[in-house]
Amino acid sequence: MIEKKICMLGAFAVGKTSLVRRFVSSCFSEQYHTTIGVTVDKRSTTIDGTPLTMVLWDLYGEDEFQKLRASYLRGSSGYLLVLDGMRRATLDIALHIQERATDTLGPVPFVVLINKHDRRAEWDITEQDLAQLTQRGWSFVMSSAKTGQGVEDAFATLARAMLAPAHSSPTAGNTHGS
Amino acid sequence: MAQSRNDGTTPGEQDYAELRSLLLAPEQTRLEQLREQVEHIDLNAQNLSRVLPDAIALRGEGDHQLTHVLTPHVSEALGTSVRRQPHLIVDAIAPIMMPAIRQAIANALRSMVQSLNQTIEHSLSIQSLKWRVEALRTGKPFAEIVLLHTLRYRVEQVFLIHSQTGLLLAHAAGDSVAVQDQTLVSGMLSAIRSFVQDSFGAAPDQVLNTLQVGELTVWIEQGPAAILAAVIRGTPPENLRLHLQDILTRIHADRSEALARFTGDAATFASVTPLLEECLRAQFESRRRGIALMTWALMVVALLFTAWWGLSSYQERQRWQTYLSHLAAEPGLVVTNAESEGRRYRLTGLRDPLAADPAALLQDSGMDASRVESKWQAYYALDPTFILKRAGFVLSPPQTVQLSLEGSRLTAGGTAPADWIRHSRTVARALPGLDGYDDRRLVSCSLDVLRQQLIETSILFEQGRSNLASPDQLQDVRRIAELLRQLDDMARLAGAAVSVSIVGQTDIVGGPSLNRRLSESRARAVLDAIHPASFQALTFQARGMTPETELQRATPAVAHPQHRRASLDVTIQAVP
Ligand SMILES: Nc1nc2c(ncn2[C@@H]2O[C@H](COP(=O)(O)OP(=O)(O)OP(=O)(O)O)[C@@H](O)[C@H]2O)c(=O)[nH]1
Ligand SMILES: [Mg+2]
Repeated sequence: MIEKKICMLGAFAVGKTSLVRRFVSSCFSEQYHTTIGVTVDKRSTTIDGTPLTMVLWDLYGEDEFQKLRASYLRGSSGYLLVLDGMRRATLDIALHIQERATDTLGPVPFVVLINKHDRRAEWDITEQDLAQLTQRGWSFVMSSAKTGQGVEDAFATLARAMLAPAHSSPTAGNTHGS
Repeated sequence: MAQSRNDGTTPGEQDYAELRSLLLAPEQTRLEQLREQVEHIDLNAQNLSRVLPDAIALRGEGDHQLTHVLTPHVSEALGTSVRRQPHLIVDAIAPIMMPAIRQAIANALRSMVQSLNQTIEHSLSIQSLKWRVEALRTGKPFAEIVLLHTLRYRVEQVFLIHSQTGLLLAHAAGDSVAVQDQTLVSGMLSAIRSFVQDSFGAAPDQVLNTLQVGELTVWIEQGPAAILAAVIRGTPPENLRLHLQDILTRIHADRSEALARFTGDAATFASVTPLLEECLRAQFESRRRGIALMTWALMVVALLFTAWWGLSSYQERQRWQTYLSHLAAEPGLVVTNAESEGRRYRLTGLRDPLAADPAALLQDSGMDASRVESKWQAYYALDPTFILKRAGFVLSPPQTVQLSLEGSRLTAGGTAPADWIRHSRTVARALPGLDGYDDRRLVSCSLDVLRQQLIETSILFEQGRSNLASPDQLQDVRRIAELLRQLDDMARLAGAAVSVSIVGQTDIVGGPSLNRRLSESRARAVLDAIHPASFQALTFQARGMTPETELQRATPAVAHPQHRRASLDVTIQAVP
């Protein structure tokens, strides 16, 4: 059994904890309890016949007071970078976090999640922004922790990229849009 | 060819040699020179010193022959050197050895202090009683409680965690230990370590190495690539840490490559599990006997104390009862209320001032006086002994008086001064519990006594004279006057009529008529001297007595000075 450490990164309240809960225990809550420090969770799956345990480090969301700390990040084989579709600011934060993560981890695979897709109508992030992401060569997934949309998909994409023999390219595999 | 064979050297051979010398002469000479050089090569120290290091290096690379050859010599040389100049070696190795020694001593001391602490901490055996109570309370078997408590420490789980990723490499748990999800535990442990270090800004080498959760302690040892976390129940000895460090070092040594290349496949570390299992140590208190002994000792002490207490309070109670019965038996003391509360006693009662002192009785009873609180109120006891006693106390009669009680009448007998008799009459009437006072016997007795005294008294005179002038005479007169005064008092108290006749006497010298006159005038002189008018209850009479009538007959015709005297005769009539 192979185990991999995966970090949940992104601005605060984008839905990192909610995504982990959806992925690990298939549930969702409207209530918001901000994460302090780290919560570790895990889920075992099989990716293309390879059993894999994903150890998920759900980190506190970055805000102006708390910057991402390298010590939590260290040792990650990949990460999910979560954005809140309803707050465009989370995109900028994500860009910034990604830089930091690359500094610490080197070119490990990651998948961008644009979350709260169930409230697509209220989104702040435009098609233009998404096009820009694609341009960067980032793979992203529209997700909703509430409905579960894109969640399994995102984790599977990341897992596959992590298990790939050489994932030396800075972005994970191919662009994976919806 | 045959020719040359005959000569020993054939002409062909000679030619060949000549040809050879012609052709090779210069080379041959050179060769000869070289051989000379080689054979006489100067293997002196100087030459050798130039090549020796290279030679040794070359040889050492090739095989271990050199080491084998040199080892015994080097060892011996070293031995000799140490023997000859030990200080050199000491100086050389001291800087290396001292820290190691210091550390070893520090560790030894620390574990010693710790075990000492534990010994002191647990040697109180009240604990074992507590455990019994706990066993009763929780319904668990006593043995289990003891096991839980006497467990000094037990390493329940050991995690080998990859430092970088926080992923679990290997895990070992003791029997019957409840294990949680090890992956999550190791992840959280790493996360907490990062969190603590980040949050409190410690230096990189200052890491979280102990967690304490109630009975559980987590010790974390940090290695270059992996950490070893031991979950320990109880109080682990400090040397356990050394053991953990040792295991971690061994794992690093054995699996350094696997650790460096770890990509998440923990299966490659399955082989270190036995090493981790070595860490699953436990130590129990080996002091059950001691505990039992202490418990016994305590119980015996408690028992002795209880017995002593019971006995002493029983004895005290006995003493209290005895005291109460003594009080009850004591005249003049009436206990109105007696109560006890625990070991405190309260007493209220009445006490005649003349009764025995209850405090003294209390002391005699052996009771602890500080435990007894008594309140006594004064009263007059009316039983005969007390009436009599009180009368004696209040009247304080002279020793010649006897008081007695007849029914409720106080009777006085004997003799006493009139003053006292008079005083007693008023006082006795006021004494409580008395119906009457009878001192008639006392008074008559006193009259008789006075009469007797007066009768025995006489005043002597000079021959032929009847005046009272000498000091002896005057003193006699005073004595008689005093007795008469008492007699007068007494007679008045008794209401008796007393007549006193003063009789003058003479000796035989002189004629009868002269003597008659002389005796009469002697009697009158005495009567005059005592001022008869001052004795109201007495009637006086003075008369002379002629010697013929009485004295001459009794004594021969010799003039006795004691016959020249006056004496008194007292007659008491009608004592009421
Ligand atoms: N409608 C909707 N709400 C979401 C979704 N995901 C998260 N939320 C809500 O967003 C809020 C924040 O979610 P969290 O998962 O706690 O966010 P987080 O990123 O863990 O926040 P921090 O721990 O503070 O960084 C919660 O009230 C969630 O219920 C989603 O997909 N759709
Ligand atoms: Mg959270």
